[in-house]
Amino acid sequence: MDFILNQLRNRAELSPRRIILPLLFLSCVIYLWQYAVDQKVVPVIILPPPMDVVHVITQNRDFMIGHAVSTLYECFIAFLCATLLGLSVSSLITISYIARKAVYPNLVLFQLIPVIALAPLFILWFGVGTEARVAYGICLAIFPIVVSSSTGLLNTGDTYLKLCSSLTASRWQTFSQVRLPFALPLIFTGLRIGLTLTIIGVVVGEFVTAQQGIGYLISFAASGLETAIALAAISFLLFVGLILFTGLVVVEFTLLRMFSGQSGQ
Amino acid sequence: MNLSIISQARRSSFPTLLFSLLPVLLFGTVLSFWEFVVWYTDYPKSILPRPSAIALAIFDNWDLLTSNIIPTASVALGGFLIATLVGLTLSLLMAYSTWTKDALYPNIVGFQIVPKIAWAPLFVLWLGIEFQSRLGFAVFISIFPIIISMTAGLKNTDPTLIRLCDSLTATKLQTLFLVRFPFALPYLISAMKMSITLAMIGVIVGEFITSQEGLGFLILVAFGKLETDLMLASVLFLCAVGLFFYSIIAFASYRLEIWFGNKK
Amino acid sequence: MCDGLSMLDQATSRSDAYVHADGVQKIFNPGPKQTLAVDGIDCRVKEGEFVSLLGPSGCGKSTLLMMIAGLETPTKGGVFVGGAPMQKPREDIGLMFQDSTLLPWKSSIENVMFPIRILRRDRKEYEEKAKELLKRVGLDQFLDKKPAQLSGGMRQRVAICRALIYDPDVLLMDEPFSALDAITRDEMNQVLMNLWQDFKKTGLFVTHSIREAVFLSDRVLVMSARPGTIIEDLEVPFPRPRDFSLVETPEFNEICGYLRGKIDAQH
Repeated sequence: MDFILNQLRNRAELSPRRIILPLLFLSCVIYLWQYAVDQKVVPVIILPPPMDVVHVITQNRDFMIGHAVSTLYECFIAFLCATLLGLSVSSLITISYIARKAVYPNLVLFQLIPVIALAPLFILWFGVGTEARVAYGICLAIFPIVVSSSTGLLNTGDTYLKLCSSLTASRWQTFSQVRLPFALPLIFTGLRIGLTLTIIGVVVGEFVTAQQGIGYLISFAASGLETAIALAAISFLLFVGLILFTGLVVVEFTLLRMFSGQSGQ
Repeated sequence: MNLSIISQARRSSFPTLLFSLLPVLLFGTVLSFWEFVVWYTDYPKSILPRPSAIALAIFDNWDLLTSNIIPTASVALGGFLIATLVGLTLSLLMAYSTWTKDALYPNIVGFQIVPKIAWAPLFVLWLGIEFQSRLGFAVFISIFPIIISMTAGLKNTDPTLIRLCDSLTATKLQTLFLVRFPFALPYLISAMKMSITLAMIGVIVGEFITSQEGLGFLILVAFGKLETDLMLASVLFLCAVGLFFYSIIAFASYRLEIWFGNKK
Repeated sequence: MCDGLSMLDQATSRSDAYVHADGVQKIFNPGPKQTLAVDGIDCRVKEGEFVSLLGPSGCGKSTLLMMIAGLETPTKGGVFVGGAPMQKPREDIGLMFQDSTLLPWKSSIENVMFPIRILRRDRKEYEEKAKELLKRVGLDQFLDKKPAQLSGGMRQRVAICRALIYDPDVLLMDEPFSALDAITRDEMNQVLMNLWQDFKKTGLFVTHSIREAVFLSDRVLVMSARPGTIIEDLEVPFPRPRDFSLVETPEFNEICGYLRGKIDAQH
């Protein structure tokens, strides 16, 4: 995602070679793929021809969109909750010294737990519905958000903080006027990792609960040796990811422009 | 006089001691609260076992748990090592030849937008239900941070240093290996931290989908039998494995700092 | 006829100028938004001469230096070093930057040996010389220290040794001391002055400090900004070796005052 942002920023660097070469490479890969299937180098079950995947997509469009919308919705809710919760926790950590000392080391410890392994626990607690997947997504996403944004909020330049106290700024003023704007880039780094993990959470949740959504579709298709359907589902997941990331980037750009006035270049 | 100094020292050291104990206190309080509430309400063990029940489960199933470490840890480590080697080679190649970079890099970045976890079932379909599919999947999901981060690191060398090399008539290869690569090592280390975590995730998800062994498999078995205490015990073992790998990389990062002369 | 004359002109210039920038112009980003960095520069440095390029920041001094180093190509005109045109970097030219650009993982001695490694010369032959050089700049106690353990001035001393180890004929210095504090800077000027006494290289020194330029050089060239052109070419008459008592003399200050006037007249 950073790469794309950078590409947008220095559009001057985009030479024809930089557009043609990757596309050429991509077409070669697709051609080789088609060729391999045509020559029966790989069986269709392992790798269906590209056109089959397109065919599946056009034929089952509505069915797949239904599952994609369900995944998108769950990801969105989970990410929103994780963001709100995560930012509240890190604000608390920043404002209160005691909270910071008590919570922060535990957070770092908690980060070591492979939350992904807790998937079955969420089924146990929340059943096999949307709640389980959303809760699991929140649980995966919240740690990077908290850690990254508290790092950003706590590492404000010392001189700025001294300036604030010399101006007798209140804690809240220091927080909203200085700490928060300075921390924005790191907060958004955390949010981007968080979003990736939310999607991972929801998709793994769909694998495990096997009820609805793109993850369910993929694992169902793969177990039925319907590789074309699985690949088609993955391409829908790509769209889900793109929609979510585009939304996040738009928010990031707007906020950064508001506060720093320099990202607009 | 002396007394006042001592009392002063005590006054100032008491809060610091308290603050250093706070995280432990919080951790302990949460654990005891958990223990107490579950015991008091007689909450079903299958939904939320007490911490003591988890400890007991570790003790009772010690052999089962330890024997399942190797299948998980070895596949994760293997996947991580392959990903690091291949990722490193690819990024060095791309740093050396701009043609390769222009052709490959946008595709790699574009590809990595797809949530990679979604490919897990396909790996089972392609590589079977043995360890190969989990290894392949671990490599697949842990290679991207290495490529992306190393490419950034190799690109971010101080431009004046490159000028120095140019003025010394250094070859492209000399500049790459004597200057750009060592300068990118901190990027490699931070990518490796991400990569080992992802390799673990890959193996666990792989074991969830299909496996006859490993800690992820054990979690599923325990879940099936509603033995939640054993399940959480397996999760703790996974933590230990992750922590072990992570601390090796953290140690490497510490050695690197010394090498860079930042620490004595 | 005309060609013949310019050929003749070039031939004579080659005979007495070791470094020669001949009608050099440099345009960055050619096109509608182009910047004319330097224009119509004629500058000659004799063999063994130390010349400073003095001028405000952003006047293209560094650009000119990079063209002489062969790291940039002039849009118009040509650069000749030792009679041969500069097309790409050569081993007979040494370069120093504002930043010491030492490799952080290498000790002082290894950093000094870095060019030897790049140029694939015999290590053993140069190891003694590297130690000798570091001793000359007062770093014999710091051979095995890494850059992070050295002060800014020490790092620049290592960088000087690194530029001298492979014995280039020309040394190009791009504001090498401007990141140092005033006291260290004076110290470094003396170090460079003493080294110069022994090595007798041809030197081109970019700076925006008038005092530094006058103290170090045989000749000072003043550049104007945007586009950079040379507006003054002044001989500095003081005999060598010089030491720091020179900067207190009225003659020294008179020259500095004259140069300051030339620079201020630009605004």
